[in-house]
Amino acid sequence: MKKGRTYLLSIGLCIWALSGAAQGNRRIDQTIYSNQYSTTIDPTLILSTSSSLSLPSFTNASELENGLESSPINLVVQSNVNWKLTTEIGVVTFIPNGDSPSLINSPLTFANFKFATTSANDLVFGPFTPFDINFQAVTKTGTLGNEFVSGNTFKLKLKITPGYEVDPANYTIPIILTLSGQ
Amino acid sequence: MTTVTLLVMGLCYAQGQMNAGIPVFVDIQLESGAITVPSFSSGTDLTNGLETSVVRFKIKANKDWKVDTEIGTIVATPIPNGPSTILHPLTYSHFSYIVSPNHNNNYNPPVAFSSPLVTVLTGTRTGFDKRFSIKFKITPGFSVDPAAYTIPIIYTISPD
Repeated sequence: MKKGRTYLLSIGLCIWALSGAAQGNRRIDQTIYSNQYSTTIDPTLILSTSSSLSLPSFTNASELENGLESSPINLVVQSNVNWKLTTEIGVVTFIPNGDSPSLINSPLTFANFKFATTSANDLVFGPFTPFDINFQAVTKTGTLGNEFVSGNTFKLKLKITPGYEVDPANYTIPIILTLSGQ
Repeated sequence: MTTVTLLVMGLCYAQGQMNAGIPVFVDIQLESGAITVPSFSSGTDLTNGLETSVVRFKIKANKDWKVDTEIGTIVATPIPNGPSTILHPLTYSHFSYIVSPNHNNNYNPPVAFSSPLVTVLTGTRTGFDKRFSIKFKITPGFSVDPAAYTIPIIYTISPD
């Protein structure tokens, strides 16, 4: 019985020793250091232009009837969210000129404006779209990316068709372009 | 029976002899600094990138070594005014590493991560504490969704 206990004790010590050796054999030929870091990327939208809109003066009946186009404005969007460009016809102000009636009752309004943009980075303008229900309109949408993403570099122009209902005067028209996320 | 017991103990002793050899030992420890990653809040930040702060490591090695750095699985969390679903997350390809091999503020040019795990530095066995500094540059551009990102960075030193 005593020999039996000694035998079991010896086996137990052996197992313990082997176990300890295994734990001591942790891999020391490789060490790892790791950590977690955090950063935030904010929504960023940039609209830049390389030209400005200029609007012509109306001098004859054909121009009143058929309208005149503005010069195109070159627009570049850099955005990390899908975007939309809203164009707003601001509050039109006017100054009577020598041909104006004594009282301007029928001034130029947003309803006399249309807009058109190039579809992608080219010079082909799409059809003109009227501002006939609101003073502002979403004139262009696009996907996130820099200026080299198709559709993020384009042109915008306006067309004004006063017809015969708009009083002659000198008009100042604020055009407000707003870039925002979709 | 006693003979059998001694034989088994003898085997244990032999195992102990094997563990007493001098193993390959390489160790990397953060010595100073804690990487902080700035937030990106302008187009210039996105286009030109931002650098993290610098961390300095100390290496002990009795064999030639290499330090691998891995950009782990980046976790993206939506933020206000950003997309609710992150379709274009930050990835390792937006990272570069910049190493000062001797921790003397002379940095090598940035090197882009060509895969999630790259070797950023190699060296010969030092016999003393080898120090180097590393920082990272993140350049998301405009093609990464706005979000809060958690970035695991794992440094592994192993025999080269």
